[in-house]
Parts: sequence; structure tokens; C-alpha cells
Amino acid sequence: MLRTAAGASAAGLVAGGALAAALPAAALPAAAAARPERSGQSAERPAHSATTTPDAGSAAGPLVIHVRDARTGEMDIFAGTTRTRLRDPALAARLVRASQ
Amino acid sequence: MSSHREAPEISKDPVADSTDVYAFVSPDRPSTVTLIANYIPLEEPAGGPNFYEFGDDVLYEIHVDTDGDGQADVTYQFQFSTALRDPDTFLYNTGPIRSLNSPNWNSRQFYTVTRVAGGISQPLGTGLACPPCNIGPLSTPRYATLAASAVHSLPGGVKVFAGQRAEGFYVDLGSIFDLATLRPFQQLHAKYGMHIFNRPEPGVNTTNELNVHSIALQVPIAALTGSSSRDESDPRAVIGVWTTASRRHVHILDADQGTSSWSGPFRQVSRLGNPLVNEVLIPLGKKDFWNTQPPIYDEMFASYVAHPELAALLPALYPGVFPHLAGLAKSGKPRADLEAILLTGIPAGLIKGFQNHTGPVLADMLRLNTAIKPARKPNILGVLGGDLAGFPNGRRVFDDVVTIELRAIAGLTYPLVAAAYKPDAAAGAITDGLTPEDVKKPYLRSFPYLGVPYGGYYNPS
Repeated sequence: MLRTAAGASAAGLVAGGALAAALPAAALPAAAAARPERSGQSAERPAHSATTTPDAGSAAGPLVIHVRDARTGEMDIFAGTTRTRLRDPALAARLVRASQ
Repeated sequence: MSSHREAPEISKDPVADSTDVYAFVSPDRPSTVTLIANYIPLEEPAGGPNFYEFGDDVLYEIHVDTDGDGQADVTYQFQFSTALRDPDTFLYNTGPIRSLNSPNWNSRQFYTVTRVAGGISQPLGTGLACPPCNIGPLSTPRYATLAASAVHSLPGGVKVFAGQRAEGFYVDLGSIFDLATLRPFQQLHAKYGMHIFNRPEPGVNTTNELNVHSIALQVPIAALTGSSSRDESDPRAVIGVWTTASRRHVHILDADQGTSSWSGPFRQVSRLGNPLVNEVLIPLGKKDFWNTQPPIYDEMFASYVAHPELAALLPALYPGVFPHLAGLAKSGKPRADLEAILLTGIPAGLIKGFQNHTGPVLADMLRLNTAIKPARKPNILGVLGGDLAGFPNGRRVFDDVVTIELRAIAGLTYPLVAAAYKPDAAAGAITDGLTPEDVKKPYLRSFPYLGVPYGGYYNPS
């Protein structure tokens, strides 16, 4: 049962036309606009001190790309307990094509 | 309820749904405070075959603010993992469970405790065993002794327990949410033209004979406030406490493998400080958002405390019973008494010998003045009953927080900030009609204080 109350589903297309995809880590190209946000250091977590999660930064588990806006190429990459926001219209376009 | 299923989204996610928070100076170890965060509301004791357990995919936290800024200075994190001895049986246990390492116990849960302060994470304990759920006399004989063995001692004089407990919070949910028809006063209710109730009746404890899952921690006061010998007038003696539950951003259901996996940072999905704040004061459309926010941002919700909807409803639902409250609500004056009780703490000078003020930051935290000693003869109405060691000075497991908050909302505490205001007589009498006597399982005199959970064989009976 999916019970992620505040998270994004990775099960496919989500509301607003955004695209989410789970990829192996090797499929991710370097992106100049990448902006990593570790757990608790951004609006992801409230600004209280409970910020360091026990497995913070771990790359274990799936790597998930959530294309928030295919037009601008804005996307989030989820890996371990990190989220990285980047803007890469070409990659977004490729992912959209791959999903069709 | 206190915070059971209090918001639309979290009501669908029981393992991450905080139900109650308690914080009190431990009566049997007064150099320590006990902090308890309850999760998983309304557990039916007969929970087989999949008995209740914490979420392995949830980050549970108990936060402590020691300087009044609405941000955690010390956080205790709890993460759980479930281990199956034999995945090829459908059974939770294959024989009597007489110890925490019983080979008959198939589905066991373990956890880690981490203390976070000043950006530094310090593991306090790993591989700590939870007790099993209370199944029945054959599966979990001598349950109280078995569960007591799951109280673990950690470095620094800390004790911890995580597992099933009897629900200690009592409330007449059926009456309160049937248009606030409090049974002891139901004959006075407007009843919408329906002549149903002609006489008062005693309250009915909706949560009786149900269980919860508790995360309980006992910590030396000095480890939080820097000293165990502060004076009660010292602001540094006051701590603010709340709990949160967080989930990872992404949950992937892998149908090919039949597995689940998670990715991304944790995001807060549940929060609880003072009882009934999100339940009764925050409007339906903002409850889930409230759950995602830290206390430091509670100013955006302050109007719902200063102008509580229920204070305006009571005079309408009970015509002629609350005339002074009606006038107060109609005046539009902010309820500074409720803001003090719930958002800033009560400043010195309003109640003789008492303060739990944390400063001007509006933040929903359970505020405890750790310098106030436990009461020898506790009053379940806490500070309202002249017992400064009870709610809203922290909260003990037996405090009647429903009656206390009903009376406060009804205007009983408004004279704290407006001496000329005369509360209605009903404000000092309003209640849902319950006491700890309506909780079938007794509270414990020592850690973890909440009673032995109801067993599935005999409950419901």
C-alpha cells in the first residue's frame, strides 16, 4: 500500500503532467544545474535540528527522477536520502520520449 | 481524540499517525523527565495475523526545545526494522513467547535510538528489542514481565521502551463529534429541533480496551536543561516537547519483484505537541499542512487559537448556558489565555508559583517546567485543579486534557489575561464525563507508565 503522504509517487505520470521515472544510477548524466539538497537542509525538512537522518547521503536503493516540468526541464533526482533539483530540458525531453 | 486520525491524510497512515505526547517529571525518578510519543491509533487487541508494529519506513522523532525558539535543540530519533525468523509460516508466533529472543516468535521488531544535538548525531542504542503485542494467555504468557524486559537502559542514565501499551487517553468521541453533545449536559443541547435527550448521562470512553504503540524515553533533566537544580522561576527550566513522524519522498512498488523500496529525504507527515490542537482548533482544510510544519512557523495558525471555532459554537449549541462566552466570542477579542497555554507558555505572575513561558515565539509545544516537582496527590485537572505538575505544565498519562481544554475554551481561563471577565458557571463544569476510572487497565507507577496492553484473547470481552 502506498502511504507516502507528502511524497511524490514514482509509479508513473503524476498530477500536473510531471513525469517520474526510476532509473539505475549509471543512467544519470552529469548536470551543470544540479543542486543537491541533503535531508533536512532545505524546505524538505523543517529547520529544526532533527536533520541528520541515520542513513543520510546513502546511495543505496533506487535512483528516481521526477520530471516536475517537462517544458523547462526542471526535475528532482532522488537517491538515498538526498534530493537534487536540476534543470535539463534535453534530458527531460528524452525521458518524456522514452515514456511514450 | 487527542490527535488520533485528526487530519484527512494522516488518518489513512496509522503507523505514522501520532496520537498523544506526554512529558512530565518522573514521579519515581524526579531527577529525570519522561517523554512519551504514541502512534498507531485505536488498535484492536485481537490484531492477528499481522499484529501491530511500528513502520520500518518511518522516522519517528521526539524533539525538545530548550531555549524557546520553537526549534529542536535535542532530538531523539527512532528507526525500526522487522525481522522474520521463518517467512514460510503465516504465524506471528509458533508457540508461547516467554522471552524477547524466543525461537517461537516469528515476527520481531528492533530499533535504534539516536540523539541529535548541535548537528551531531550520537547513537544511543542499536538492535533494541520491542516486546511482542499482547496476543493472549497461550502466546504471550506473563505478558507484563515479558514487556518489562523490553525496557532498555542506555548510556547517560537514559531508559527507553518502544512497543504496545494500553491506551491511556480517555475521551467520549461519540458524543463530542455528534455536534458536541456532551452526555453530562446533553439535555441542555439545542438538539436541532430533535427531542432526543431529556436527562444527563455519564460519558462513554471510546478508547477503552484499545491499544497504541508507545515510544517512551526517560532522560535526566540535566541532559536537557544543563542542570537538575534550577528554580521554577528560571526560564531555563522550561522545555518544549513535540513529536514528528516522517516518510521518504518516494515509495516504489516493484510488482516484478514483489518488493517495496524508498528514496529521497524524509518529509514530515505527522506532528503533535499539545493535545487537541490539530484535532479541534485547526480547520479541516489545513490539518494536513499543519502536520508538515515545524512549531516555529505556528504563527500562521495562531488565529485559530486566538479565535477558536468551538468557543463560538458552544453558546449556540447550548442556548443560555454560556452567555458570557457568547459575548466574548462576539467581541472578537483574541483569546490571549489560549495563546499563552498553547503557544507561548504561561508567563510568571499569572498563577502563583508557576510559569512555563518560553518567550514570544508562537509555537505549539508541550511546555514543561522541569523544576516543578511531581505532585504527591495529583489532580487530573492539572493546573486548573491547583496541581502545577499537570497539564498544561507538560502532560501526565492520566491528565484529563479533554475537560481541561473544554473548560479553557469555554472561558474559564480567560480571567488570567482579563481579570474583569466573569466566566460562565458552566465553564467550570463542562466535561465529557470521564476520568481515569474509565480506563480499564491501570496506569503503571513506573516507566513506561502506560498500562499493560489489552490482550487479544480476552478483549473485546
